[in-house]
Amino acid sequence: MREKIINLIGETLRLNPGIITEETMAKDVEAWDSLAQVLIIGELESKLGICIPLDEAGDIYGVKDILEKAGV
Amino acid sequence: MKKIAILSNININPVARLLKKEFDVYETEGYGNELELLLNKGSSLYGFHPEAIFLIEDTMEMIHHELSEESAKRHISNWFETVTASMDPGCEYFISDAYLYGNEMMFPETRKRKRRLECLWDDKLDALIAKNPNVYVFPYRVIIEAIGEEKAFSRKMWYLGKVLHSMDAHQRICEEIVQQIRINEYMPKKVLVLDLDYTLWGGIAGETDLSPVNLSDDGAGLFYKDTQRVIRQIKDNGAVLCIVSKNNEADAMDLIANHPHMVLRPDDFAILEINWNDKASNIRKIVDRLNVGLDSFVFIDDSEHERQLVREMLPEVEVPDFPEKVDLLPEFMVRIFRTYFEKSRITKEDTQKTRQYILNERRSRLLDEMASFHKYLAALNITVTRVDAAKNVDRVLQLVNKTNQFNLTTRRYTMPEMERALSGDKKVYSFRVSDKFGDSGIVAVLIVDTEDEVPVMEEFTMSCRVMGRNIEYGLIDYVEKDLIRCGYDSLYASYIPTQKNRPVAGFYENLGYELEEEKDGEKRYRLDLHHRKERNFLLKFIEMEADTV
Repeated sequence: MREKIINLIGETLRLNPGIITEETMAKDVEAWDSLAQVLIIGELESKLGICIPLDEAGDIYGVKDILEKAGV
Repeated sequence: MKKIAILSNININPVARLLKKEFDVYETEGYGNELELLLNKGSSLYGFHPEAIFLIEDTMEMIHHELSEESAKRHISNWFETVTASMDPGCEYFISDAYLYGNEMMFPETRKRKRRLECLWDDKLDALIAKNPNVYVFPYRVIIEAIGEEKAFSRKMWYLGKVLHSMDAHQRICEEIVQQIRINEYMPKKVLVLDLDYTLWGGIAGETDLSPVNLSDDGAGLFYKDTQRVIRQIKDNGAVLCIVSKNNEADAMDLIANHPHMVLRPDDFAILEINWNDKASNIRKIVDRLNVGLDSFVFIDDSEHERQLVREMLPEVEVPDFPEKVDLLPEFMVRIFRTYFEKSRITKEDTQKTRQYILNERRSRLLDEMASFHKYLAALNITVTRVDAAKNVDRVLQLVNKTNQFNLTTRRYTMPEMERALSGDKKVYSFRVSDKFGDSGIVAVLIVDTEDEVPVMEEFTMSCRVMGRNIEYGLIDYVEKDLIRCGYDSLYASYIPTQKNRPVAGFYENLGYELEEEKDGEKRYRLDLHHRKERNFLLKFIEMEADTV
């Protein structure tokens, strides 16, 4: 599942595989802006069924936060 | 790269991002401010100089969730009024059709109202398009319907950032934007040549006793019937259908005329070549009879062998691969339409193309029967009616921009150029032609620039459908006489050669125009309007159509 999530983040940001890792932080990726963050959260829910509550969306600063909230 | 802007009342910026590789896309400032951007000529939108603006509007936001017809109508009218007031004739506008989506639409009462509220928008859009040739429908609703509301919309993204659509829907919207730009610029094909056995029906005609052809309301037979239904739509959207097939003609014709499940009947085809000759020769015969270039043909055949032969003998003809499974056939035909035949706007002339060619066949039969060409022209009873070009801009633009053979200068016009020409700085003549067999529609355009002392014929184009009846001589005579009436003494004209317009290379010489200058094949002529040769034609002219649609 961790791999699936990381791949989905990469695809949503339209980056080549391998660029996004477990350590990636949003501020270090140019394409990962607030709009991209919305898309990532939306895609996690619709493609992988991972629901990040609206009020927690602001606490996400990188891949680690997402994995943690997904509980994997 | 084409410069486009995508504006919306919701956050559609993901679409703009996805299109950055294909187009130079305007970076929007937020969303929901599309009307302000359009109205303010000093806005960054106009600083960007977009060639095409896509307005993809969410209907629910548009009507502010006010689901009474009255309120919805008010919001929609306001929007259209503002957009109309802000429109720039030099820009193309693609406006989405309506789709009403929202939590409150899950109720029986609102469900019932959905279509009616959507129609309020669609009717306004249709009216805007009818008045403005630079406005097109962006087929948005069909995208949502194709993937379904659950997949098309994302509640999570909506609440997080007013992003209404899922990534799948964004992707589809992007593909449609690419398609709309493409069909607005390309040269659509004209003739769809079809095989019969295993293309229009399963099995082989003429072997009915052994194996009846498969064409019915169920199973594989239904795939073929549905395929024919799609082909009929391709025809109604402007393609000319022909048959090239190896069968016994009598067997095949019997089937086409009488099989209870045939959707296409003999009259749906302009020409049927059903014989045992090779298909390349048959296609060449159709080229001669229709007077359409080979590069306007698409050939569909289930046999790899036949396709290969046509590809080798007639490389200009488009020969798409045939689907391996019959159940893919109807979709395959839809794809053929979208790839080769789809147009941004359809004129009345488009919808009757096959019929026009059938009438031409009857005309040529009359020519065979008549002892002389003169008698033939007299028997045709040709009437030429001048029509108001300003009221038929779509067709006028289509003629000047898509006609290749009978086109003396092959000068193309953008919408704004044509509007300027029509608004007074040039004389634009457009003509409808009809005869005893029927109406051919608007088929010729002549444009004379009268800015200088000596007027210049900068455009003379006529549809190849009406060539060979001396109509062109009558048209030029009409224009020359009109210029004489306006007090002019001479007229400049020119012939600019292209790959396609050689048939008219000697046109002006034959009419007694004097060659003044020749450079790189381009010939410039002058005509003394008071010393014209007699023009040889047999037409009845009607001055101006009272009411043209």
